[in-house]
Amino acid sequence: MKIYRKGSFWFTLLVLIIALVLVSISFSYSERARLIPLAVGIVVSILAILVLIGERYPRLIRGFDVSLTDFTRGDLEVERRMKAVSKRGVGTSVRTICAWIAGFFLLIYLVGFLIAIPVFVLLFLKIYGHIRWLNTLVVTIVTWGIIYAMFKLVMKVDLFKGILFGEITPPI
Amino acid sequence: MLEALATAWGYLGHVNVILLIFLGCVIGLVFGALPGLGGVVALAIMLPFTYGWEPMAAMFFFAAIMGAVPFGGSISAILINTPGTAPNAATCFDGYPMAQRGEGGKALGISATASGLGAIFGLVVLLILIPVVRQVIMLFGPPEFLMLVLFGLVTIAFAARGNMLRGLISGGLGIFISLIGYSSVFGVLRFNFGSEFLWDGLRLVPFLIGIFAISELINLSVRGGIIAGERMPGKLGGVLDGAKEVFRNKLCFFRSSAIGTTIGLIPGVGGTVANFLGYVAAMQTSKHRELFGKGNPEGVVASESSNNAKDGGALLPTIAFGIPGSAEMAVLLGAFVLHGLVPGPIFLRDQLDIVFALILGLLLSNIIASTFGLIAGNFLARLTTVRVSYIIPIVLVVCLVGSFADRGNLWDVAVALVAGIFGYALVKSGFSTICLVIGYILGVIAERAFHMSLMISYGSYAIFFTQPISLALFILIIFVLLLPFIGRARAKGRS
Repeated sequence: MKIYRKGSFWFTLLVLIIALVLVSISFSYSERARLIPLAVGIVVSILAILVLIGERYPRLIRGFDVSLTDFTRGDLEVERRMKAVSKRGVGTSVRTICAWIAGFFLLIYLVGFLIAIPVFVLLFLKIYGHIRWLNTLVVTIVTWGIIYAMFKLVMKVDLFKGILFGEITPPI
Repeated sequence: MLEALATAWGYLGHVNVILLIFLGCVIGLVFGALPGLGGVVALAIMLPFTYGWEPMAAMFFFAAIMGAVPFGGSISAILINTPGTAPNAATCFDGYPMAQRGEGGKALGISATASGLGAIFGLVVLLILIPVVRQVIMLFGPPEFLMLVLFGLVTIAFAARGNMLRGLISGGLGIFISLIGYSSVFGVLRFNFGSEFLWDGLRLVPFLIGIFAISELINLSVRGGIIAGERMPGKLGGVLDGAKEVFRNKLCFFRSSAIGTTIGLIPGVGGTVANFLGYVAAMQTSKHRELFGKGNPEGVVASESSNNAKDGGALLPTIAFGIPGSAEMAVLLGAFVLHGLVPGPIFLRDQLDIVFALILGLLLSNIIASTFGLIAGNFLARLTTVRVSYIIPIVLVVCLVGSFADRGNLWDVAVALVAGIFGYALVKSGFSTICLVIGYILGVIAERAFHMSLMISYGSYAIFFTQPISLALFILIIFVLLLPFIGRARAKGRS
């Protein structure tokens, strides 16, 4: 596979860019305050470059693919068994779920937790999960009830009410 | 030491503490039985619920969750051939064939007894080691602590799944994240990019919820479908016979528990290694090797006792040195910080009552979970047939509200979401979330130790190499870093 098609290549590149940016920012601090960030940043940058080279030439960094024992077998075994029994496989994409999560956050921002929670749970179960109406309604009500009881009544958390209802967002 | 034990024991007289232990057990069993969730997610989600609790009560609660998860995981491994958590994977090999031939109850009986006794074994070893380690940690000053953090990071990077370089990068990123915000040591703001929100840095609870829980939800949704789809076995008989089976295989039990405890002591290696090594050792030394994988009770004894014994071992580096022995311990370290407890050498010296709360919590939860799990095993296994579409919104809602409840700031919710997506990408790209979290939790403490060391030595870096323990740790770090090359050279030599 060409390296630019690999997600790990782009992610490592992102890590390298972040590390380099942080290193450059470190220079603006006093000598003592920048010591650790600078040292860590330089090490991370060098390692990220090595990993990127390894993406293109895997043999060069094969030595670092540690096999202390066959400990990864457990994780692989779980994955294998789950794939074997999963009906949908790897059908749903990461983008879809991230969009749902982002939508939920936007809803909280606009109308607050107490309205956003039932709306999100109901829509998610119905549209994403294709769950029957009765089950959808029951799960929505129970989820909302538990959250309200736990956070509002027991823990006395003042839940965010949403900017549409006059709540002011904290400074970012 | 006895005084601390008495203090912790005294808390068990409180009804609310007992209720919390029961609740922790139920949560641990449910999260353990549900493949894809597990102990790390359970602990991360439960962190915000413990705000305002006494640290002692919170530790009992967390210990109860940790103690119950492994047995919960074995229920789905035995009954539906899907391990609830990765460290239960080897239990499937013999547990499920036993269930298929109508011995599901017996397999659960073995699992319950081996889990409970294995945990007790690990905790007894821990109790024996505590006085020894307490003497050792008295010798630890700032330079030794810094070297210890570095040693922990390097070891975990070496042991964590995937590539060592990526493990080290993850640790470095974690340290960077920990440096965000106002530094009281230098009186400066670092890496806040002009944001007022970042003055206090990235908060622990939303960060951990994102990295461990939300990233796992994304993973779960990508996998889709129902968690498990195997047909459930009928009634569960022969539980008592299963319990007796552990005593019939005493040698196997002790050997596997010893392996589990030893593996637990090594930072970052975790239960999966313990589980497999225990299983393989049992197979290699058994008189009935040919029966392994076909429903040999010895396989279940080995797998479950080693898996549970590792908790006692893993607790030691966590409480004594602030270096977590497993992913669960990494979140537990976060819980320490949340409750104002400083992980590291001072902890074992000054907070011994908390240590005993963890030990007693683990002990009780293992006993309760094994008993309760046997009664409700069928029901818990049935939970795994629930579609992930039900689980995702419920857990996500709890995650986001929990992140907000930290300090009532909406942007903490955004932090949890971004951390979740980042955590998912991290894992998918072969990086280690444990290393990231260790770096994040210990980064600031390590930086403080570094500067304190320099103050002690009037600015001389030689302090890190002239103190015997510090030097020994430094040599160990170099050794661990060179291990891949040594392994490669040996492999070349053999070929």
